[in-house]
Amino acid sequence: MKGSVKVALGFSTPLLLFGVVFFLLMRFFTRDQLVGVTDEPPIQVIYTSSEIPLDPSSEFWLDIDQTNVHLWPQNARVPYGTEERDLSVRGVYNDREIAFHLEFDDDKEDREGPLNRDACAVFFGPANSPATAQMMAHGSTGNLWHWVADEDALSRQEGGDPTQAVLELFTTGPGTQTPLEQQTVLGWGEYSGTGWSVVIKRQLDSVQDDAVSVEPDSELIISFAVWDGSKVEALARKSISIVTNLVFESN
Amino acid sequence: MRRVTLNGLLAVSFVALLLLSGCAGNEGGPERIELLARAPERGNWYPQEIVVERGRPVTIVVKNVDIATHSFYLPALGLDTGPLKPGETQEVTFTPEFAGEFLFLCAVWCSDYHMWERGYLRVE
Amino acid sequence: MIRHSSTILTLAVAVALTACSPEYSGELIGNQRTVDVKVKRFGYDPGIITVRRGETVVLKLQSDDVTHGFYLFDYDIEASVDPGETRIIGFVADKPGRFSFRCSVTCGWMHPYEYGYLRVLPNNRFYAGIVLVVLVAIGAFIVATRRRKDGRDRLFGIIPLDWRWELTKYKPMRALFKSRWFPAGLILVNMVIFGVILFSALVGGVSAGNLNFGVMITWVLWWVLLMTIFVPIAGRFWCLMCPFPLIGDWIQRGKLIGVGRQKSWGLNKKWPKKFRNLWPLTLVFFVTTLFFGFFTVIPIATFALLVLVVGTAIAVALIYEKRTFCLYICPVSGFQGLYANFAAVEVRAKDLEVCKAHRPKTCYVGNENGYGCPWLEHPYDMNRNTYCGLCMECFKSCPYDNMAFNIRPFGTDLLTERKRTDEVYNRRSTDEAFKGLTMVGILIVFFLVMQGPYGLLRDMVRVETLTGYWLFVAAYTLTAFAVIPGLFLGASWLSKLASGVKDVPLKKVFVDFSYCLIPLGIARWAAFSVAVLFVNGSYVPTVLSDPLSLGWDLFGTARLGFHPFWTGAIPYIQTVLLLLGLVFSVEYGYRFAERLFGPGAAARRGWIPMFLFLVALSISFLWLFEG
Repeated sequence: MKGSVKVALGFSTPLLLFGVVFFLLMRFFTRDQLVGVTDEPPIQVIYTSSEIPLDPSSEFWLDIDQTNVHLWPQNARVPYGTEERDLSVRGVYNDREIAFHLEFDDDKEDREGPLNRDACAVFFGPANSPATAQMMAHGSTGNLWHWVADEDALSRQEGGDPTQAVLELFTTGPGTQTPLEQQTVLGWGEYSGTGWSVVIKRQLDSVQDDAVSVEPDSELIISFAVWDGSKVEALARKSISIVTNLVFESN
Repeated sequence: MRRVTLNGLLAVSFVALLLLSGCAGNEGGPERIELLARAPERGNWYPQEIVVERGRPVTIVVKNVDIATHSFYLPALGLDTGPLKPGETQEVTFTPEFAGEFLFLCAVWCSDYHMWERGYLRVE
Repeated sequence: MIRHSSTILTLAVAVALTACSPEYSGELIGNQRTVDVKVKRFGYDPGIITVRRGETVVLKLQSDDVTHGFYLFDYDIEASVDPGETRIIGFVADKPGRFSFRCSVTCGWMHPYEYGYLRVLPNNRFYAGIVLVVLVAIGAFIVATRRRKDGRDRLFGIIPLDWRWELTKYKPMRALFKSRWFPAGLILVNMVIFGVILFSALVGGVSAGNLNFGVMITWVLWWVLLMTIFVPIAGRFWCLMCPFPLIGDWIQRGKLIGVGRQKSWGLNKKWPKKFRNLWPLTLVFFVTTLFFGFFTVIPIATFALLVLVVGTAIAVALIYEKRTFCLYICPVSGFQGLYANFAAVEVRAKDLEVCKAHRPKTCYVGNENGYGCPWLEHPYDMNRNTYCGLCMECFKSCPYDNMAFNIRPFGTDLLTERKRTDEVYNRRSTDEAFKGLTMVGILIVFFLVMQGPYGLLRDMVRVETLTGYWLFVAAYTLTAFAVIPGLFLGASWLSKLASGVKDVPLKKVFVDFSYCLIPLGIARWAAFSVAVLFVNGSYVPTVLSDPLSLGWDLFGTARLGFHPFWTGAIPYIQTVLLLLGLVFSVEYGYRFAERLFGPGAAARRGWIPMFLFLVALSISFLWLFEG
C-alpha cells in the first residue's frame, strides 16, 4: 500500500498543476466579456432643510441638480414599449419626506384614462434583489409610485385629494402590481405645452406592510417609467430606465 | 464554319459569365445582412450597428449563436422575429423609407444583462 | 450557500423521501393533481415530482430566468416556457415508474444536464426489477457454484473458457492485418475527422455545445460508441484507430505508413518503473473528470482539452519511448485497458513453441516489415489485454505468421495468472483494483450530476461559486477513492472472515475480488451511455449536416434539433445490461473465491459476503437509475 501512495503523490503533483492550469483556462474562456454594458450613474437624492413643494413649477426645483435618465422601450414582455425617451430627474428629501421631480417631453396632454392617459412612475426595490436591471423583473419585490394624468385631473378638482394622483403599488414580479391598503403618495403634474413636470412625494418611512421604506439608510435600487397616452401606452407598453442605485446625499 | 461557331459560343459564354459574376450579389434580391444575436456578456449583437441605404430592400438574417433564447425587435419599423432559440435563424425583410437611427433590441429575457442588448440601424 | 439553501433542502428531503414513504407533490383535488414547477438554470423545483398512478397531472411551469423547455420521457410530452409566462401541461399518469424529464430548449451551457424526475407510484417496475436482480443473482450463484465434472472449465457450464475462434485464419483477414494500411488507414480517416472536430470546437467558442460538431461528435457519438460497443466487446478497439499518437509516432519513426526507425527519435527515455501501472492513468482520468462541467458542453473547452491531450501525446513522444503516452498517460487509456480484460477479442501468439525457438523476437524488436511492439508488450507470450493496443504491428513483424486475432468468451482475461515474477503487466495489484473501484464511484457521480434531479450539483460542477466547486471536488474524491473502496474493503474483509481461511492476505482478497466490478462497471457505463444516445442522438445528424456552423445542410438534417427517441425503452435496456453485468460478475467472482480460499466449502462461505455486496450494489444501481 505504501508504494502505491508514493506513486500517487509523486504523480499527482504535476497532474494537479495541469488541472489548475486547465481550470484557469476554463474560467478564462467562460468569463463575462461585456459588450455595450454601461454603468448607470446612481440617482442622487439631495437633502434640504426646507419644505418640499408639491408644485412642479415652483422655483425650489430650479436649485436642485437634475440627472438625465435615458428610457428604453420595455423589452421583456408583450406588449413591448416602442419609444426611447429622456427623463430629467431631481430627487430631494428632508427630515420627513422624499420627493422626485420628473420632467419629460410629450406632444399632447392626455388626461383621459385608462389606455390613453399620460403617466410616469418611480420604482423602488431592495438592493440585494435577485433579479437585476429591470423593474418588476421575475423574482423581485418592490414598490411602484405610479402617477397618472387622469387621476391627477380628478385630484385637483374640488374635494380632491393629492394622494389620488399617484397609485402606490406593491410588485412581486411582472404584471403583479397591487395597490397598497393605504395610498399615501402625493403627486402633482403640470403640462407645459411641450411636456410634463411631475412631482411625486411621500413620507420617508411607511408603516404599511409591503411598503418599501425609503430612508437615508436604506439600500435601494430605483428606476423610472413613462407612458405617452396618445400612443396608447399602458401597462407593459412603456419606456423604462435601467435599474440603478439610489444614493442619499448626507445632510 | 465550325470554328467560328465554337469561338462565337465561347465568346458569348465568357461575356455571360462576366456579367453574371459581376451582378450576382446585386441583382435579384434584397441586400442580405447577417446579424448575430448574443447576450451582452458574450459579445452582444454583431454588428452593433447596421448601415443600410434608404429605399433599398434589406433582409436582416438574424442568427442566434448564443446559449439562450433571444429575439430581434425593431419598434420604429415594426419588425419582430419572435423568440429565436439557440441555433435558429430568422429573416426580416423590409425597405427603409426614411433616413435616421433606429433602435433594435432583444425582447426575450435572456441574461442578467438583457437590458443592454441593443444596437442601432442607421438608414442613410 | 445561503442561496442554495432551498435546493439543499430539496436535495435532503428528496433523498430522505425516496427512501421512505412517498410524499406526493402539489395539490390533489379529486383525481387531479396540480404541481407548481419552477424551472431555472439548471434544474427544476421540485426536482422530483411524485404522483399516484391514474391521476390527472397538471404541471404549471414557470421560468425563473430564461426560456426553458420540458420533455418527459416515455410519455413523450414536450413544452417550452418563456420567462414571465406560465405554461400548463396536463396528462394522465397511466404508466407507473420513474420517468426523467429534461429541458428541451437550449438555455445555457449546462442545458443537456437539466433533468428532473417524475415518479408515478407505486413504482412496480422498480420492485419487479429488484426481484429480477435477486432471482438472476441466485440463479447465477447456483450455476457458478455447481460442481464441475468436465475437465475443461466452462462459463455458465456451457461455454468453454478456452474456446477461441481465430479470425486471422481466414486469408482476407490475415492479409488485412498484415497490411501496413491497417490500421493506419483508419487512423488517418480519424485524424481528418479529428481535425474537423478541433476546428469546429474552436470556431464554436462559447456557443451552445449541443449544436456544435466538435462537442456532439466527441461526447455523444464517440463516447457512446466507446462505452456501449467498443469497450465491452472489443476492449481497446478505439486505441487501434486513435489519431492522438499519430503525429508522435510519425516524429519518432520518421515515416507515416512504412517502417522507418525502430528506435524512437527523441530522448527515448524509459518510463519510470514505479509508475508502470494503472495509477497514473487512474489519476489522469479522475483529474480530467473534475472539469467535465466545462469540456462536455462548451466548444472551446472541448477544443482546449483535445489540444492539451494531443499536445501532451506529442510532447511525451519526444521524451519517452514509443507509446508511453498511450500506456501510462492518456485519460481514455485506463478504463479501456482494465475493461479490455472483459472484452471478447484478443491478440495472442498461436504456437508458443515457434516463438520459443525464434531469435531475435522480431515482434518485440521489430524488422523491416513492422515495428517492435510500440506498447512495449511481449507479443510472444502476451496473455492479457490490459496493455495491448491492438495496433497489429506484431502481425506484420512476425516472419512465421504466428500471431492470431481471436474471438473468445467474454472475460477470460479476468482469470489470467501472472506469467513470471518479473512480468510487470500481469501483476494484479491495487492499481487495477482502484481503477475498477473508482470507475464505479465516477459513474455514480456522473449520473447524479448529468442525469439527476439536483440543480445544486450542476451549480457546483460549473463553478457557480468557488466554495461549491471545492465541496464537489472533495465529495467526489472521497466517494471515488474512499467511500466505494472502503465499502468494498469491508465486504472483502467479511468474505475473508466467512471463508475461515486465515493465511490469505486481505489485500489479495480485496484486489482479486475487485475484478468482479469490471463486468458490472462496463454494464453500468453502457447503461448510462445508452441514455445519452437515445436522448441526444438526434443532434448527431444535425451537426453532420452543418459541421462548421456555416449554415450548410449537407444531409438535410441541419434543423433536426432535439428529438429523443425510444426513451421509454431506456429503463428496460439499462436493466438488461445490469443483469448481464451481474451475471458475469457472479460467474467470475466465484472462480476468484475458489482461487483465494481453495475450492469447496471455504470458497462458498467466503463468496457469500462478496456476492451479497454485488447484489446490493446492483440493487443500488437499479434504485439510482429507476427508483
